Amino acid sequence: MLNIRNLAIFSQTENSQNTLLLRLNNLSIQPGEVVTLMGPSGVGKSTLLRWVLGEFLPDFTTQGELMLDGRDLSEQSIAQRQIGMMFQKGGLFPHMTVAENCLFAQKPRSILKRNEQVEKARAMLNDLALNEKWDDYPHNLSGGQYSRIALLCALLAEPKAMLLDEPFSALDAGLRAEVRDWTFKQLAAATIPALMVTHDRVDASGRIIMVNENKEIVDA
Amino acid sequence: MVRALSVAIKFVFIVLPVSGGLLLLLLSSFSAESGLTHNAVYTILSERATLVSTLLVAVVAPLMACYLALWLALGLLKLPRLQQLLSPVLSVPHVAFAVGLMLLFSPSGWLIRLVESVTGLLPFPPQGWPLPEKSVITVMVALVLKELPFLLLMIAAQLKQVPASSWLTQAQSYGYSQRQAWWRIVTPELLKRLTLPMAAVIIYSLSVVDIPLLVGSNTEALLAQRVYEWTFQFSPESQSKAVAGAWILMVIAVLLLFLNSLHSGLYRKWALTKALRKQWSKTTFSDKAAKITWITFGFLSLAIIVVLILQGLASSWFYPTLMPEALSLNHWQSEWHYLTEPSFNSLWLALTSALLGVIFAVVLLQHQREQKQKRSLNVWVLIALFVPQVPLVLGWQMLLGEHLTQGWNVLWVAWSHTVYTLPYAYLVLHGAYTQFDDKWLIKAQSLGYSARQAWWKVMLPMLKAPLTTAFAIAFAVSIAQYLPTQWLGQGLTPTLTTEAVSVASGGDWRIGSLYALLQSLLPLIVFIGVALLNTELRRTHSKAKRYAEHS
Amino acid sequence: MRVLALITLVLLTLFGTTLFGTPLAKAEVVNFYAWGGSPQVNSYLRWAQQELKAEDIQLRHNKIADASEVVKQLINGYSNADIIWINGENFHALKKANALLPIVDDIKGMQHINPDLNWRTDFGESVNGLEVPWGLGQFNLIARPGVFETEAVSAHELMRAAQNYKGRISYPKPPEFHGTTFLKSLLLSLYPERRSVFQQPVASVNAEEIIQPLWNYLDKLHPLLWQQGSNFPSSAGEQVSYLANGQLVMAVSFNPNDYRTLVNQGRLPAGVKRYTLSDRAMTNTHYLAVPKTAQNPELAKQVIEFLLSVQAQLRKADTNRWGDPSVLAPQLLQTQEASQQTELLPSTDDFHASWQAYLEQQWSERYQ
Repeated sequence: MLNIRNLAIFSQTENSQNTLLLRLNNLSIQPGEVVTLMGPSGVGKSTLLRWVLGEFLPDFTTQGELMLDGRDLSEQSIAQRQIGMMFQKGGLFPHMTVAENCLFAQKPRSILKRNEQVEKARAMLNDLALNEKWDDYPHNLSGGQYSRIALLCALLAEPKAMLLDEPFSALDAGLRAEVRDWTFKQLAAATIPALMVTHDRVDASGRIIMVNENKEIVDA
Repeated sequence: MVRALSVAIKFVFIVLPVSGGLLLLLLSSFSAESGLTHNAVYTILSERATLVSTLLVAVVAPLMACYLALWLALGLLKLPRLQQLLSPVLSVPHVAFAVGLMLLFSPSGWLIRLVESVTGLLPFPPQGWPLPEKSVITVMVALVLKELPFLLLMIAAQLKQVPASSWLTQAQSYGYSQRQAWWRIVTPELLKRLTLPMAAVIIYSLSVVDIPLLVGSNTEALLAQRVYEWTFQFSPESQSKAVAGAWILMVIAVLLLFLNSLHSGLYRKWALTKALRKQWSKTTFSDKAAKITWITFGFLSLAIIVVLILQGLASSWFYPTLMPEALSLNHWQSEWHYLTEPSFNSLWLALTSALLGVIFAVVLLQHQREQKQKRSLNVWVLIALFVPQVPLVLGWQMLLGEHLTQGWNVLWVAWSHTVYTLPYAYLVLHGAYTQFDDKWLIKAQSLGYSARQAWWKVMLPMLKAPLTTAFAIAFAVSIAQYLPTQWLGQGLTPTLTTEAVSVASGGDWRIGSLYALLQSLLPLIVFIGVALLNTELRRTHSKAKRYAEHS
Repeated sequence: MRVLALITLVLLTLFGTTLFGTPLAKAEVVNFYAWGGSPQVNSYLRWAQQELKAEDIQLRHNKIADASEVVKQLINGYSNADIIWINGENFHALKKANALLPIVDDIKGMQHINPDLNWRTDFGESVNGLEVPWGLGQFNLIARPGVFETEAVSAHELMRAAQNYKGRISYPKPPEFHGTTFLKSLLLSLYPERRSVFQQPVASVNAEEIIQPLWNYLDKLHPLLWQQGSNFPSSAGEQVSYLANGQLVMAVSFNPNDYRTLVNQGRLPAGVKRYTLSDRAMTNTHYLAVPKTAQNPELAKQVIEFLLSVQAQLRKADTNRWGDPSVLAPQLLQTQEASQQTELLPSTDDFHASWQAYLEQQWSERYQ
């Protein structure tokens, strides 16, 4: 379970005054649940995700508690947190093939042997009927293929939670529904909590939360 | 760690060499005969012809190269592969390039011989040909053509960071022609990013000695050329003139750098305010002309290499014959045995100093990345490129003093080369390195890699292209070094370049061409290797297959 | 990244061998700083290297584009030169800086020097035992056939040729020493009866009046020259190239055999002829010297002994090779090989050294 408590994000202005960007009193996401954060751009949705991920935010000051399955994450590095991510663009490293990306994702945490890792990745690609893309570079993939393989790689890293930032906005409408449904199925199957940011209601799933006039995040 | 390293590198390879050289200049101007220096300044300033041609070369040549490069760069955006055409020209050292140019276009060059062989009108080389063997114009043409590929390469690097294509599309949707959009929207941004490469080009044009010595006028010599000559004359007048001349060069350098810093701003203002002419119907003509220029440029670089090869194989070759009387390997055979040492020295010096230059540049850039606010180009790293070389190297000799006679010269030569490879590597790498997207590093860390592993496994491989290009440029820079190699090496490190320059002093271009060719060959191999590494290896998926098969 | 590690390893090895290879081998190395612009000279010194190996000496020819490079370093005190090849201005600068060892008395080969050779003054400056004669320079013109009508080219004849071959005649730009010698030869031709004046220091004669006719002459000559006298070849070697490719019909040389050796080498077309400017060739000696800072003065002297040996001097004079005249007494060279030597030109002594700087300075004030 992912818990965020008493979070406040302030943006630093030039005369080093802090202005409140976003506040979140309490959010819990159950394993297998997807929570969608909605709101117009510029309200700090992505900043929230970056904070959860553990990125260093030089232009902001933050306070708040972050727990994952009872672990306190606030002092942990990105690598230690075990949170996967899927962004609008660039989920795959452009200088590696699909195979290399998949194996690269598994290497740090997987207890499987190398050949088992290959098998696992191939099996997952097989389910998508994308096996022939194994040796291709990301720029040779179509949009839908790219998104799916990107999520696949993120899941191969065995995350304990997943963050999604506008994951489907680069896809055209027809493909979008298909990829979206597939993605949520995968997340449910992985039984990990997921937090998704989007500005498009059609992409939303499960519980929806929003940023109100007081810059507080509340249930929609 | 990075911080400490970066401080050490800055001290040993930037502060020490530059301040050492400048200190010597200060000392010698305040020595006993400072009154003489004072007079010398007036003497030099009263020689208007020298100053005018110096300024002409240092201002006009870089500007022409710059705008020619910008004009051609639209082709680069449409067909990035054109970039590979630049490698052969970049790898030919300046002097060899100038010689090749003369062999082709001087009054007794190939072009005229061709005319003579067809028409029979020119039993003697013509007089009054626009590109004479010796003139300020000839120097400018050589400089423009040689700087052009460097600037194009710099633009190519910037084009990867400026979303030029989408800007062009958007501007075209407003009704601009593609060329108009290019000059008004993309060019101002490119010029801003070209300020420092342009500074390097300007200072190079101001302080270049070998090209004017070869093809420049010797009665209206350029200032740097005269400073060089005065340095080797031993009367107190000449010595004080050399010092005074070096100071004047520095003052001009500062002035030109200041003007250069205004350049992009002025251009931007012009681009914003200048009224738009009606759709320029000749747009397609301009595009065609650019295409033809690209092709000509490719042919030219090829022709230069061919003519150098022919010259190196010629047993004798007199005007007006189109081809040498006979081709033989005589020169190659007689020199071959003696080429091993200089080739070996050139090679390891270039490999070492290029590798060090790139590594050090990466350390400095990494340090800059870690200080999030300071990502802009650090001018101080480039300072060695802004100081004329003669006083600088004389200063190093003074600095090293006794150490130079203790047989460790290889070390000092490698050090001096690194002083020059570092700023060029930094210049080439800066954009790609500082603007590398943090998201990739974070992504790798989210997978469980440490920050260092992420840097090593994700950032370096992704920056392979700029890293290898920086290496190739640094390699070529090291190969071309003459003064530091000769003066600090004390003959213990003869390189292809020191041999080429001394052989060239005898005017025998058959042997000269041979050395010039070899001198070009090493960087050419590196450039081609880099090009292969960056394109071919990418396409073969052997690596991924290996993973699959070996598992 | 393994590749990177490998490269680093290879570099370190290369670096190590170069770095530690040099000091070890240093014991027998003799650093000879000599102009590297002539392939003939370079191959001659390569031959000397081979021969000296038998004496356990590793002669290293440090090629320079101009002797003043090493002179500059010696004066500043940062040079590892053991032997240098100099004369004239460079010798004067080193003598003044007290940078040379007196070696002449230690060289046994000196007893075989041609007694007729005027080597004890170098451009009017007393040698004082600081340098050993190595070869001879005789100033001569090399021209396409038919350019000049007489073998000794007078100032008048030169002017006539310049009118016939407009824009095809030139001379190296003073202070390049060929160029300065060109001016001196012209002076002799304009003033054949006052030869002795030029042996006196400039300051002791009314130089301004004496050389005025030269400036009058050049004022008339220059508009007829290559590029109307607005540019000059930078060196004698460059002028040879211009002669070869037809830009000019005339070149200058200090080697009386060059008109043959350069044809043999394929640098000049066959048929070029040799001339003297004025009735005699300006003659001087070029020397070898050992700097005080030399690390191996004894070995350096040993090398000089070898270079003065009959064998070495004969080979040097061979017109199929370098063709630089020998400095040894003629009776020592009565061998078959010696027949390949060309006879020397009628000679005249060079001017007093003070004329050199005076002419150069006056010339650049007028024509630069």
